[in-house]
Amino acid sequence: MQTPLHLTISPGADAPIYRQIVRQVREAIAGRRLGPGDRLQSQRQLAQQLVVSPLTVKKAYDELERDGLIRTARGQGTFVAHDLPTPSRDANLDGLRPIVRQLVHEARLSGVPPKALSALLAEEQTRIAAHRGDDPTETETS
Amino acid sequence: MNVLELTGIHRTYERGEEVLSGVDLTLESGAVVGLLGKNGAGKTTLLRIAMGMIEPQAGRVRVFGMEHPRDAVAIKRRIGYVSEDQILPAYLRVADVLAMHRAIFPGWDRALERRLSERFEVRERAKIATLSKGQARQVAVLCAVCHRPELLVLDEPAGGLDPAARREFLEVAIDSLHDGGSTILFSSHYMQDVERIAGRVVLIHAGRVLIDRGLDELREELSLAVLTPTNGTTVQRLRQTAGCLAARAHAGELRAVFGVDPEVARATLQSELKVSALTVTRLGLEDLFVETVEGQAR
Amino acid sequence: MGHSDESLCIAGMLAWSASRVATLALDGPGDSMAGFFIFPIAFQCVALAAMVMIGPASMRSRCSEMQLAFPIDARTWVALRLGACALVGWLPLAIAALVYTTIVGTDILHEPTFMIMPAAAAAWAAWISACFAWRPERSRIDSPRALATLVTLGVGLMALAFWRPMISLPVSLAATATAGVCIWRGLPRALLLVATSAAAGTVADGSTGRGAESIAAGRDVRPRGLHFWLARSTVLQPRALVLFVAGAFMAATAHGATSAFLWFGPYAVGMAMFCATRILRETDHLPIPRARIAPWVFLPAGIALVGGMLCGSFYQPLTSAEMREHVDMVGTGPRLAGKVARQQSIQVPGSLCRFTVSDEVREIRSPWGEVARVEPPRVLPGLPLRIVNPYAIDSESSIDFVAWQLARALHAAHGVEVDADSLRDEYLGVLEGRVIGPFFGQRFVTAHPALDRPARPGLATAAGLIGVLLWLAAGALVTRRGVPPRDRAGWKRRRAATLAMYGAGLAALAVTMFPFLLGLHYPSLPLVAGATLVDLTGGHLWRVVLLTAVIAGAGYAWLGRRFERMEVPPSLPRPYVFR
Repeated sequence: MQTPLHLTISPGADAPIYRQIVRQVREAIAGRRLGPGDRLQSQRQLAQQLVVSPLTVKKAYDELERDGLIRTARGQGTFVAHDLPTPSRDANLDGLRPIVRQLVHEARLSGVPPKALSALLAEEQTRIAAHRGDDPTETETS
Repeated sequence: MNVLELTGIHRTYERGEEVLSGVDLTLESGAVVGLLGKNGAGKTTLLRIAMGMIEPQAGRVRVFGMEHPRDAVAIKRRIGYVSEDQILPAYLRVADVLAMHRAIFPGWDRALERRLSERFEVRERAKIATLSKGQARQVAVLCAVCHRPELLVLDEPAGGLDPAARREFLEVAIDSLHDGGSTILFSSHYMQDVERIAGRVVLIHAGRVLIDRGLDELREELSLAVLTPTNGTTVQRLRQTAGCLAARAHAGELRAVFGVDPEVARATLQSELKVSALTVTRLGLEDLFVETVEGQAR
Repeated sequence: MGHSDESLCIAGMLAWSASRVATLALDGPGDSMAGFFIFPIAFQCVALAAMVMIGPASMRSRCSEMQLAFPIDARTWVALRLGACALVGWLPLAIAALVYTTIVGTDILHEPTFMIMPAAAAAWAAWISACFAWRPERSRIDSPRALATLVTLGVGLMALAFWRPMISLPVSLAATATAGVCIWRGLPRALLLVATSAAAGTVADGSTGRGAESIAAGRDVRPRGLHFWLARSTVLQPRALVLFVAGAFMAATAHGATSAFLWFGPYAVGMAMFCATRILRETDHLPIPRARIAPWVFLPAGIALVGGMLCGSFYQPLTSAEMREHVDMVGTGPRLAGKVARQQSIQVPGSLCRFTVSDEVREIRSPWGEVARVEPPRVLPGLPLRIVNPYAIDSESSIDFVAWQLARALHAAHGVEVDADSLRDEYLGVLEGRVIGPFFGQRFVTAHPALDRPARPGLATAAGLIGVLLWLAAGALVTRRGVPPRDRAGWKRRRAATLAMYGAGLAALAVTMFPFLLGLHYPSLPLVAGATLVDLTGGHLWRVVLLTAVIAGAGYAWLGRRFERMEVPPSLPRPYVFR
């Protein structure tokens, strides 16, 4: 049973609003909260829910569509694409680098040794995979 | 055809001091542009010039391809205007004000008026003089929006309203953007509202346009550098650094806005000024405003 | 914006009061003296009452909201407010009286009607005190019943002062004292705010959540459109209307108030036209052509002014014994203490006089050969313009000559045949070698009611022209706000021009309305101008009318063009702006 997707945006945050929307949809798709063929809110509806300019929503949806994650059928609505593109590993790794860097810094500050950090990482991965109901063999192992 | 074209606008106060010295602004159809600036920077003046209420001493004003004051009435028919210090006649009732607007604007959407009246819980029999500030503003918004104008000119429309009222106003403005209808030019001090709705941001300072960029572009491409002042690093040196838009000293630190993203800014500062102890981050609109405006050379 | 209306009103009242004191000092005695003093006081009271009743809330405040936040106690505030009222009302009168008594040396204090003044003053003070005594702990008087009571009380006290000054004085003083005690004891440490009308008024009956109902109810309401808006913002302002009506009433009934019509004409102009800025602020962003608004701003004022001028030329107050537009024997020059007989001269209605620029001495020859040599007096010191009075006498004239001139003047002005000898025997006398006619005008008009007819009314059309010119001048002043100049030098030039306009306007107003301010004694200048103009057009009144119409039409077109270019400054940042 899927939970309906609720997006939130925060106007003063680091990223512009359209990017926050894109990020959240991406994460939802990656986290299997949105599956292929699932229907997204229309641009108008999303703009009304988030109280943002419809042009911003359009920009976000356009980028998602360009990346092949969603597609719009005229008159029918916006759906998650069936054939999701295989993510390019390198691009994604680069995207994660700042988050990992921050994690490493935090660990150092808290005095957590690297081995314990790696163990923590593996533990979380297993837990999330189990939560998603994934085939554990699908997960990337380090 | 551009909805609004202002070129080379010069305008002085009564006493001969310049309030706008050479301002250019172009709005294409469907754009949502937020005017930012300190109080007295000339935002209201610019908006009034766009409305044709005042004439610039120099420069050209074209709205919908027509010119003030020759076609002023035809232009105003297609504009909706809300201002923080708008005057509604105190002795009239709300119903009278609405009826009057209904009569002078073609294309009045009765259904929209009804919908908004219910949403705002407007009391038609009430005299304007008895309305609170928020309610009076709601009436003004009704009058401006219900004839489905092509251009909405809003001068601090949410000024002095509580957050719920501000949010409601934002929703009304956003609704008017749907159906590809309106262009919006507004000025506001509420940066969060500007972030929500503006596509482009124009910052006016000392009578000139300091920034005129898309909002997303602005947020992604600008950065803020914070460093400790030393013999080698001063405000003046910072201002001369490539890519620096503004710099100031504040509470024992030096803060500078750069028009490039954080990594490039960091690299520039490290190479040019040989500083190592510095922090470079992205910045939100409010900080952008404060740092840019306060960081200008006087 | 409304403050300027009130300032205008107060300035007008002050000028009026001062001028009246001057008149008292300079004029001959007569019953109309009462009018000269009572009128400004009564007018002040009526005007204040009107403002308090229907004016802005600030008029009914003992102190403003901002002032309530100060650490100043209520007693100080009320004392300040009462003191300010007294000053504004009485200082000009007191100063003028003082100046004339001490410096010029007139003997005002011996005027019998001067006794009325303290009575009227006491009545006025009683009324103001009563206003403050009502609910003294509140910062504002808001109950309509209270206001109605106070107004009635005020009017009653005034009437008493006029009718029986000797009773009015102690009564009013007692009332003032009582009210004063009430105030003093009723005042708390700090004044309380009165609940604002938004809280106490319609919010209670139309509570939230009734949106649908309100729409349905709205359909029963017949909305009043643009014309109502325009009318209500310009002509039908309650304050202006009440003051206009009050002024008209007083002009019609009070002593010594003939030229009152000439006065509230400009006031009507001010109220109607200085609202131009406000109506433009309300409609600037709307697609309403300015040409549609212009008639509402300019035409009512023009009608009021021209109408006022015409009425002033035609109309004599019902109870007035004032002889300004009649033939009269008056003393010229200040009435100095200790001197009874001043230089006497014959005053005639303005329509019989003419302007001239030459200063040659004129000779007036009687049938039996007596000659009077008269130098035409200047209108204003320094101006080359002079007035010729064909019925003047000089200091050497015999009593027969005076009688002959009087008879001629009466015939010319009123078309009445009066025998010169009977005039001489009944009304004239000789004192200290000079011919005098004390209380002449009063007794004469009661003896010959036919003389109550005003002077030749046809000349009033020329007064209409003056009215049109004043209207255009006021309009020019109101529409002076075009695009501001580019630089400081330009601004200074424009400021100088505006000040010059104001100065010229005030001077013109002063000279036409209050010639007696200058201690000079001659008839109302608009009528002299009118008579001169009629002469210039060969006596054909229709030419004057045509000229007036042409100037009015061209002037209105010009004003309309200026109105199109007018720029309104943004309103002050108040939360929601109502007046």
